[in-house]
Amino acid sequence: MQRPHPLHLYYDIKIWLLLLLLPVLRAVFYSGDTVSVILSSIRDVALAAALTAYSAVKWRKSGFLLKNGLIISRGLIIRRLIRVAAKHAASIETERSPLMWLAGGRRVRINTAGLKRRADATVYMPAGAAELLTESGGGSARRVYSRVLPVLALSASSSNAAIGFLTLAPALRQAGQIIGREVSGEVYGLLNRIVSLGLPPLLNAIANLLVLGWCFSFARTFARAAGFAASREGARIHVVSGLLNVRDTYIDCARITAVELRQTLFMRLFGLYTVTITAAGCRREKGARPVIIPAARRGELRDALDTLLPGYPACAAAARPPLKALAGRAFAPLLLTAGSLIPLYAGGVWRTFAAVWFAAGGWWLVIRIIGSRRAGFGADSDAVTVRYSAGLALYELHLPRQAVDLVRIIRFPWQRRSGTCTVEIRCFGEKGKRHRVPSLPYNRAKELVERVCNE
Amino acid sequence: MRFFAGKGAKKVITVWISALGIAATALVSALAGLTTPRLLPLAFVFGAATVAAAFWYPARYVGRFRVSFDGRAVRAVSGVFVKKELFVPADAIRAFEVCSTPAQRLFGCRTIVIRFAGGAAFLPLLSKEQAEQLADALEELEE
Repeated sequence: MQRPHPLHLYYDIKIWLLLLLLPVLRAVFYSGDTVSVILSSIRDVALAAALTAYSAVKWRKSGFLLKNGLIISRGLIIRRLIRVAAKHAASIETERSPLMWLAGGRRVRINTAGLKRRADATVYMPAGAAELLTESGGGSARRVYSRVLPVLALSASSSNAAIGFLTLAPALRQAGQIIGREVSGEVYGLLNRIVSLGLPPLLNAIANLLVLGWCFSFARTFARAAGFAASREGARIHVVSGLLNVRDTYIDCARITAVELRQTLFMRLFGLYTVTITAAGCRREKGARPVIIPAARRGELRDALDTLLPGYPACAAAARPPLKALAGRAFAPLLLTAGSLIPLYAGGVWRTFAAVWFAAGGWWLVIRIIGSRRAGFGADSDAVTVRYSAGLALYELHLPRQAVDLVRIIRFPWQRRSGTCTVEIRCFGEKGKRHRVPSLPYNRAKELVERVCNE
Repeated sequence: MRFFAGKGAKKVITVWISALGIAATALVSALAGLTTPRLLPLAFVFGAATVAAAFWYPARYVGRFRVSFDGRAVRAVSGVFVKKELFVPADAIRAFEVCSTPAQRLFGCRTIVIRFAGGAAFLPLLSKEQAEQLADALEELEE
């Protein structure tokens, strides 16, 4: 067996290295006698050294072997031998951070479609061995690249929350200014004096933090999506992503159960979509999304999907919500938007909050209206399509008919009166997501659901 | 093949509604005793609602609940206020379970849990014989 790359040792002891900070902190902040500081520091360093030695022995005893898949041997107290056969690997992911690039190592994660919530096997290995593990069986086809401008737009609107924070920041800053001006000028009470002195800087600081948070989100998304490339290699898709931390992911196409197109309102302004897939054992790590196209326009998307998933079944959404259903869908956001009149009536500093409230309600209302107009459900002998809005984003899901696990028609009392229903689709996914299309005409929806079950 | 909720289903639902209603009424009454007698009318409303629900709801639920299986898909219709129609394609079924609570065993009812890759669907309160019949049909399908 081959020993894992020394980076394994570094990542294992990284947490223990923080113990070495304790002597420094003690020397700076502890006011006791020097002897006790030195003795305590020796204890901390000895503990860190012991844990590092344990990690080093563990690293020396562990090993991996590339033989028709991957065999990993690890552990000192509890010995484990993990065997992942090549044919059972649903996805293989190799990661290369700047440090790994310098050290010539790679972190390799192998996922199967098993029940584990995390990767079935994670190992640090030399770059050569990682390349050997992931070498392509089929010839490389046309690659799909992400363009800079769409990625910038995606990064700027990486989440609706980020956009919300950015719009909230000036409002908070303005609120701080109004409080400072109005409260201190009118009343001379101690409390109000404190409020006038303390709140404006506080709100300013929060506003700055929100802008900083958005900048961080922008940089993180850009670093992930820039340099994105995907290609079809035989029976698998090869996805390369990341600017600093480069990740190569190989996904077995046979395990793809759904293709999802996601669009936030901001991305809709630019006509951009993000395409993710649902595949057993793909991208299980926390926060990881199996993106195959980060940002592309409709036309580019068609070409890209033809390249990556040729022959993937799709159909039109035959059942659409009637126009009169729009009023029902818009009711809740309209109510929320109308609620902004209350702080507006209160006047003063509340006007700023009314503006933020109105913007949030308006944002949701626009999403609901667009979502209601685009919503639909379709099924034919090969494919099922659902389009709906959930939260603050629009979704379009295409899945092979065989991948549908459950279809539920739900009829609330008011839907029974208007002859409509909500269709819920569930398919295999790592997070058990439910896709719900509301306000569809009942008879047409029932007909399509029967088609899903009978054909 | 068509399946319906058994006679015992009514009794199971009545037991559950009664138990929950009595617990809620007792809780509100206790709160009334501890804090203010103004809560007593609320306790009365809870009690009356429990009696009404225990008489009205089970029959409606059992009357609407039906399951069918034609070898291609399991279909179920349920719900009194919110009507739900369930479709599980036969080839999506990965496993199924027949389970029962003590109350269900007492009144001869069983719940069928159909498991598929994306989760599970529950068909509750089938009579024991019909649950076994459906389980047999699903077993035949697997074979």
